[in-house]
Amino acid sequence: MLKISEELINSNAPNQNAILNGWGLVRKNSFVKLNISQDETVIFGECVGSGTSNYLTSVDFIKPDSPVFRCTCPSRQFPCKHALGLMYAYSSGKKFTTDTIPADILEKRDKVEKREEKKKEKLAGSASVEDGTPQDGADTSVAGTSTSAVSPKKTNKSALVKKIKAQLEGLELLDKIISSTLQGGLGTINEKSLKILEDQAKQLGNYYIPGAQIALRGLINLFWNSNDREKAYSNAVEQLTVLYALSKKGRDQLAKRLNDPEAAYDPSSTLDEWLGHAWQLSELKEAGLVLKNVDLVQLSFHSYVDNARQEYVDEGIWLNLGSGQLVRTLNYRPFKAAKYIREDDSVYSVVHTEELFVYPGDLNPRIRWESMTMRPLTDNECSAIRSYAGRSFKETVKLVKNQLKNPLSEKDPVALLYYEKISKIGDSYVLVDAEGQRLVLADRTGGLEPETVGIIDLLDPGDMKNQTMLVRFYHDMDAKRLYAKPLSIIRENAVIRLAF
Amino acid sequence: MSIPLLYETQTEVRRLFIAGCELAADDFKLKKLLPQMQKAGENAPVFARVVDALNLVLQPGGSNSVKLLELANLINAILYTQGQTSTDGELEDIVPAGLKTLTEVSYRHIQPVIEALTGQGSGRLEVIRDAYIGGCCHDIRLVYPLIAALDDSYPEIADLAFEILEGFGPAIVMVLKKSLLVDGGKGHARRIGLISKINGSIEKEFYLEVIEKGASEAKAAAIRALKDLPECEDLLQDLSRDRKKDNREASLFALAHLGTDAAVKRLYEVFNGKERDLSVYPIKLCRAKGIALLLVKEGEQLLETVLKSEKGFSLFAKKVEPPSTEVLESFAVVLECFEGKQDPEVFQFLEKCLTHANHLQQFKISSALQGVRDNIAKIVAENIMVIGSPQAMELLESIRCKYDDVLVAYSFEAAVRSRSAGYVFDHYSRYVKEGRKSAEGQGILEVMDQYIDFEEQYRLTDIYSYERKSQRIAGIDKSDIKWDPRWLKILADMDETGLVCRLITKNDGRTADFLARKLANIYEPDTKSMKDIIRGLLQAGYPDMMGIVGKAIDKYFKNARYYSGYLFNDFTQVLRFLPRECAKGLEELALKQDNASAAKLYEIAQYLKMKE
Repeated sequence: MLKISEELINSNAPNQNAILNGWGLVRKNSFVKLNISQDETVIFGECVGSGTSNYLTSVDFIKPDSPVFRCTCPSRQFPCKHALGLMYAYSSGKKFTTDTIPADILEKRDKVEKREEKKKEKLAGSASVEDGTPQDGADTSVAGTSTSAVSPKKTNKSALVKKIKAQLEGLELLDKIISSTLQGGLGTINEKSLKILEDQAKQLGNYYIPGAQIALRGLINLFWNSNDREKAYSNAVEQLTVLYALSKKGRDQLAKRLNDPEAAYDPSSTLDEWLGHAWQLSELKEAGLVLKNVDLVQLSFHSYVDNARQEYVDEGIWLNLGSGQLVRTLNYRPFKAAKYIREDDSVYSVVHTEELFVYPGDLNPRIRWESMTMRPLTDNECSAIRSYAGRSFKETVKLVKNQLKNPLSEKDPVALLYYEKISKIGDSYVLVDAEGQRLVLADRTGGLEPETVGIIDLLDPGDMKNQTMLVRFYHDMDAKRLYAKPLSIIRENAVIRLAF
Repeated sequence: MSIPLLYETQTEVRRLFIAGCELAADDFKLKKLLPQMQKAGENAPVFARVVDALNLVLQPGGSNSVKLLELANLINAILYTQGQTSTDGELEDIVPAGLKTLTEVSYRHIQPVIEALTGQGSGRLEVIRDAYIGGCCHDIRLVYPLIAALDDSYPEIADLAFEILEGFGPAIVMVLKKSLLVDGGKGHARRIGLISKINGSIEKEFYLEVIEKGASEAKAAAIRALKDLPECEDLLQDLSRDRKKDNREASLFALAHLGTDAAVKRLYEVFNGKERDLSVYPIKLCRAKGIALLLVKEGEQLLETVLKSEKGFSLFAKKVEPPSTEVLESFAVVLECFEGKQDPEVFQFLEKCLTHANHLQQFKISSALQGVRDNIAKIVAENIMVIGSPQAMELLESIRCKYDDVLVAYSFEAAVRSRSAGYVFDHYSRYVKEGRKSAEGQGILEVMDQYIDFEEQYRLTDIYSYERKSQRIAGIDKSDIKWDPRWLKILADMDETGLVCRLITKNDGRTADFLARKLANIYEPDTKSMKDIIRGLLQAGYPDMMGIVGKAIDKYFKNARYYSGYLFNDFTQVLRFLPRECAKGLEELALKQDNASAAKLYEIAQYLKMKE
């Protein structure tokens, strides 16, 4: 029998409103027809809407790991509330009558099959593979973009050279901006100079170096949004060193690339991404950054506003059950299109994916998948998660510090730690490992996640000893300290989330 | 490695970032650090690199900004590896609250609740309430936002947070205590109230500590919490004479709860003093017999004074002064204090008052019990009604035809609650026949309005009824109350359409025709009457519902001076009660309407189609 869990439906919903609206349709009995195919691979129905005729909605589970949603409604949200409602109706036990699959669904299935075959043929005939784009606006799989589409992309060498030259020009402009900012000194920054800097950041947009543009906006936002000028100065010093390192390393990288514009991007460094390269899944595949048959458990999640990127960012922290590596999903939703892009959510099940794409990165690289299935988390898997925790704080801290010293690295890596106990020294909370090493837990002022340290006081006494904690490290230059912010506690049979 | 030296250099670099890199060359403070750095560089190569970078910064010429950035980059890279992770001091074990909750509510569900609890603006209560009903609030991550919501300026949110936190049980007490400010305001008083509700007398020492150290509202709340601690009575007695009014009021509340002889004595003392207002609510709550007896005694005296007076001049007797406002007000307060008291002495006194109903009805006073300004006789009757015992009902019913029937509405209500349907009709229908123009008829019809409702499947929630008396009646179980079918004819004759709609029974064709005619004769859009009549017809099983509803909707649109989506939506609530067969008719009707109303009618048609 076809099984559709509520969590799977929720994870496909673009946002909470879509979930509520989907449920609303079920509660209001808006579906006038609810059908399921004989072979239980597709559910379809008719839903009453504001149009004159009913909307024909279907969800095709021919590939259970990447259901295909179809609907005749004009909504730009995907999947629409009707497709979600149809699945909720099914999962909540509404009566679905068996019926033959509508001809148009069969036709579309045929088309998809043919397309897949063509792709395979092309793949067979082509050694190098490039990324594809969604093939059909109406039929899209869970993860959205398809990698398997693959006609080798013809690169226009002269255009590429032109682009690299523009990027170099952009970095020169960035140098000038940094230099002029430093000549006047941060102390002279005022509303007027911030507006000039903003204009300059806008100009940087013309040079194909979005990473630099975002970093510069980050610097500007430090002053716009700050009530604590001294703190802003400290952060600005760091941000300027990042900009400088980007400019310096970027120029070297681009100079090399100018000599060989068609050379592959460097899969071992994040520099290309900083310079504006958006890794296509096919490129990751080509670079060998794909893992097969991976089980992942989400240990923490949060969503925040990134004003420098002008995007909402949904970040999930996952553990690869096979390797024990902590990885991150990052879902960027530009402000202007946020309504139409799926908002991620906490996931409590184990996610299985046939192919896991891993971006170049540091300790916690970014990951993506095309399709996935879910199953409940077992106690054995909780034990497996715990077994991956670092037993020695010293070693973990060493790894973290090694990452932090690179100016272009992620400044807030996460790690799993096994602790002997949680104690207090005065008002500070401290993790202690078996060797007696201590690690101070603290919330970051103005941090993106909710405050979590105080929740320790609410936990079970059993959580105070011999447990595993997921922490996010951050360095506070003013306090001269490396702190750990608790995110989750992994018990023998459950993950207790202190954030989301 | 000389880390403090590096931090010192970083501080100077930071200063130059702020002041401008042009000042870096030959900077005095940086120069001063150079020798020490050079010395350190002899042992550690990384310091030697810093020395090189530092030298470059100090030399004039070249790009100052690049040189300074190079130095900053190098120092930052080193300092990132030097961040301290440990801290000195003795480790203390943590005793956590041990809340037995999991954290299985996802971000999308829990984040809006956190925002609602900690944010500002409208619409927050609904979000929290929905989450509470949906079982999403028993989550460890909501504890602090819920505690923060106890301070919310919107009392409904604070009360809901109180209720949710109570569900966490005794484990939450420790957390509440940690978040408490002994000199805090309302929110902190709520925290103490919550602790008292969960742990009661167990927290004696805590309450005493707050009373000793606390101030303002938190202190008053701690005084209230002593209500379960008889050993604290002396303290409460002292506090009832405290300088601050809040503390005096709180201690009277606690004393009333204790109900000892001394407590009663003090309550009565205050009742007879300047601060009578402070004592009324505690006295109402006090279940001690002593206070009831004292109040009866006081009441007797006041009754006597009132009985001696007349309103204005008596025709055949000598001139008598009316009772003073003070006496009347005192009488009203005494009666108010009787609310909910079941002592036989109180009942006897009220019974005695009733015998003077004719006299008492001359004097009007404002009564909290009645909710409006009313005459004393009615307040006495309402008091007896609140007692609610069979004896009370018997007494009220027995005064029908007495005292010029000034209290016949109460007799009627008592009869409805205690006598057969036939009896009620036989003895009270004559009053109704007099119509709303007579005071008796009006009173009885008002009672009928509150006691008669549609059959359960046709009821709509009236969220706008806040009147105190209506709330009392709403709380009464009316499932055993039956109505004589003869009422229908009388009410129809009296044109009491609303009551007819509610009383009509299945297959009463004659009355249904009457209602159908009424509906046809409504020319102005009157959604209340239309809703009532449609439900009445449905209750009667009227055969051509679609025909009659169709005409009503047509007329609604024809006669409406302006279209109000809100009113139309309100009206269409009743259409959901229509039988399944009406779906097609509604769809046809929808074709004639504008988009908004067509969509609504169409939605209802679909709803009807899905009906079993």
